[in-house]
Amino acid sequence: MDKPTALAGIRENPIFGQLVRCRRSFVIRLTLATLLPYYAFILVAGFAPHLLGEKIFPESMVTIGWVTGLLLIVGTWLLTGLYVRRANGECDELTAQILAGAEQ
Amino acid sequence: MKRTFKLLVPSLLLAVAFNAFAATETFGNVQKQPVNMTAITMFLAFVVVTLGITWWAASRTKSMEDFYTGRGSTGFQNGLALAGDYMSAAALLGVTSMIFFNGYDGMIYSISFFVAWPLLLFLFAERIRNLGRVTISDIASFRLDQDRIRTLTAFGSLTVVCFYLVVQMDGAGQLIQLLFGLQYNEAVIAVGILMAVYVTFGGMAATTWVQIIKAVLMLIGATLLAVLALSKFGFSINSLFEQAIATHKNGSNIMLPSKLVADPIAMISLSFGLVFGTAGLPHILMRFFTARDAAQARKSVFVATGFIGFFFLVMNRGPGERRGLGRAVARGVGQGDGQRQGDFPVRLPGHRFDVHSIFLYVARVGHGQQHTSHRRTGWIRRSIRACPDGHRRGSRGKSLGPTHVDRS
Repeated sequence: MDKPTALAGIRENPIFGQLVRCRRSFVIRLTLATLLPYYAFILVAGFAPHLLGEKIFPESMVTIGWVTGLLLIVGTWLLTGLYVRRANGECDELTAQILAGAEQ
Repeated sequence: MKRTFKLLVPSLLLAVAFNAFAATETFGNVQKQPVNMTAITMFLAFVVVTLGITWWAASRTKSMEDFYTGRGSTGFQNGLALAGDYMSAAALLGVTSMIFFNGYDGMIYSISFFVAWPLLLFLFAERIRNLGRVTISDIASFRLDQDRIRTLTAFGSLTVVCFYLVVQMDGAGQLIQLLFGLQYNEAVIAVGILMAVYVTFGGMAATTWVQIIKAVLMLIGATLLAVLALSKFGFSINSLFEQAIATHKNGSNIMLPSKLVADPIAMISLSFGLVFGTAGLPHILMRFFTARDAAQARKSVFVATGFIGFFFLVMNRGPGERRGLGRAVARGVGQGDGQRQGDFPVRLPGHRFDVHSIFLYVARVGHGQQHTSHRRTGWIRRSIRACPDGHRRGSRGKSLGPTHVDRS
């Protein structure tokens, strides 16, 4: 099979459009979900650092800053997991369909 | 440059961990030490094992692609190797020492390093992998003028390698000199030759395996230290923080971002550097080629972030302990049994694993690595010398504990 026509076929394939749209919106949402909390944290640390020094309970020594750090790290990890699950499942399935279509 | 960590950190960690006794004895004098057979045996054993892996990997390398990418790692293996690549000097030494000296700053650094990961995965990883190229200059020259891009990246690499390698080799030389009683020059040359051998003969597959070993060792080491440290405080994070605040010279300010990032503009600028700088690390990007397929490559990021997150969290616990330690030990643990005050002795049959000294040493060297000024070497020497007696002299060890330790 001639290479350019195979590529053109893929580009016109509606599943390919679906794959690109699905991936793009998913990636944008995940990037925002990572960056927004992180920069909220950075802005708080930059402009109002004393907020991070507040204690979570009056009698506890653990401060909001350490809890936020823990949540950010765990949350980021979970977002990575979410992406991997979706990309390895749904998106790879669409890719396989497109490739199968191109070979016909 | 990356190669240097590859052997350096695990072997030294191992050597330090198993030779804490020797390390304690040599803190006072970083000049040439008497030859230490235990340390040398441990080090050589590690070298032999990793060289064996290199030989094994080399025997399986059949093509150029094998050599540069060592394709074929599973997601879990590649994830561990990624974590090993990543938990290098910056994480182990830099973050530990930063928490030790400035408290919460270390947490900000950890979070920023960590946030880079998903961005890397979401935005770059797949595209780079799909190009099917091997190095960053291959990728950059895909659509651009090949000759110019390659010249540019060569200049970039050589400049970075020059500065970076000098610091790394200097650190390696100092540590080996300290632990094994080798001459500094010999130590540096030996480490340099070893690096060259590993990479030249083993290629990427060997590098992957050495990174896996390193990651496992570092995870075990950090977890052990965190557990031992917390056990000193009855596994109560609360009392750990309490002691830390009570002992640290900055008091409750260690719970806040310090002067280093006090200015909002500096803070934002730092966060850009940390996040996007980390997302562009070439040796991390390269790891997306070493996995078997795209699905495994993605999975490896999940594994790596899990381990790295865990590592950062235990690192943040472990060092926190050290701040509180001076006082806790002075109150009872270390008194009268011939221990130096401030030590954290864990007795195991036949050996004394002096965890506190290891962390202290690592923290000192790490802190020194952040200051690559001309007086750096002297600074490390002085601070190491000040370490064991830091409480008494109150010189460079002042952040450890005030002079009241003397009086108590």
